[in-house]
Amino acid sequence: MGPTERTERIKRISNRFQWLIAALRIALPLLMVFLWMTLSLDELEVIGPLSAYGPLTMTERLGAIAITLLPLFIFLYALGKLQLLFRLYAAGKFFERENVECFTRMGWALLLSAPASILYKAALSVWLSFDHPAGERSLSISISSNDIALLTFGGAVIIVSWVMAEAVELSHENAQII
Amino acid sequence: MPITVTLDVMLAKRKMRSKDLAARIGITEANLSLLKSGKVKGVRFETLAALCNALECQPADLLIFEPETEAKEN
Repeated sequence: MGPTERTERIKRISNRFQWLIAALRIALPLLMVFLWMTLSLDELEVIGPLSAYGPLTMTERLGAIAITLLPLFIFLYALGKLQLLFRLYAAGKFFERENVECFTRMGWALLLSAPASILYKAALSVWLSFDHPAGERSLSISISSNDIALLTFGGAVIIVSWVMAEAVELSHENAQII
Repeated sequence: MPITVTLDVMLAKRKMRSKDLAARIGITEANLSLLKSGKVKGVRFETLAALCNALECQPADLLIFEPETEAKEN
C-alpha cells in the first residue's frame, strides 16, 4: 500500500468514525433521559448502590437527570473534540495545530471526568436520600475503577498531545524541505 | 544561511523556464520558486538529483557556499 492509498484509507475510515461519534453524541443524552425516566430503582442499581426508598418519584427522576448532566456534558465535550479530530483527519489534516488542540482538550476533559464522576455519585446519593427521615439521609463518596481509568486515560491523552505538538513542528519543518 | 541556491543562473544558462523545469522534475512551481529564492530549510538528494538530471549539471553548479563574516567591534 502506497502513501496515497494509506492517506485515503485514513480519510475514509475517519469520516465514518466522525459520523459514528456524532450519532453517539445525540444518542447518549437521549439514553440517559430514557433510563432515568423509565427504569425502576432495582434496574438503575447498575449505576451504583442507590439509597432511595420505594419507587422513584418524578421529582427524583428529574433531579437525577439534572445531576447526571454534569459528567455527561464533560464526556460529550470530550466526544466533540474526538469528532473534530476525525473530521480533520477526514479532510486530510493530520499534523496541524488544530489536531493538537483536540488532543489537549480531550485529555483534560477526560481527566476532569474522574472528579466529576465522584461528585456526581455523591450528589446523587444525597438527592435520592433527601426524602428519608432525619438520620437516614446519606452522602456516599466512592471511587470506582472507572474513575481511575478515566484519570489514567486522560493523562495519557495529554501526554500524546505533547508528542503530537512535537510531530506538528517536525511536519512543518519537513514541509520546508523540497 | 551561508548556502545560496543559484538555480536561476543555471536556468538562464540552459534557457529553460521554471514552469518546464518544475514539470520535468515533478515538483510544484510554488516549491521551485521557494527553492530559487532560498526560502527553504533543505533540499532532498532526490530533488537535487532530478534538478541535475534535468539541467545537465552538477550539484556544485546549483549551490554556493559563502561563509558569513561577522563584523566585530572592539
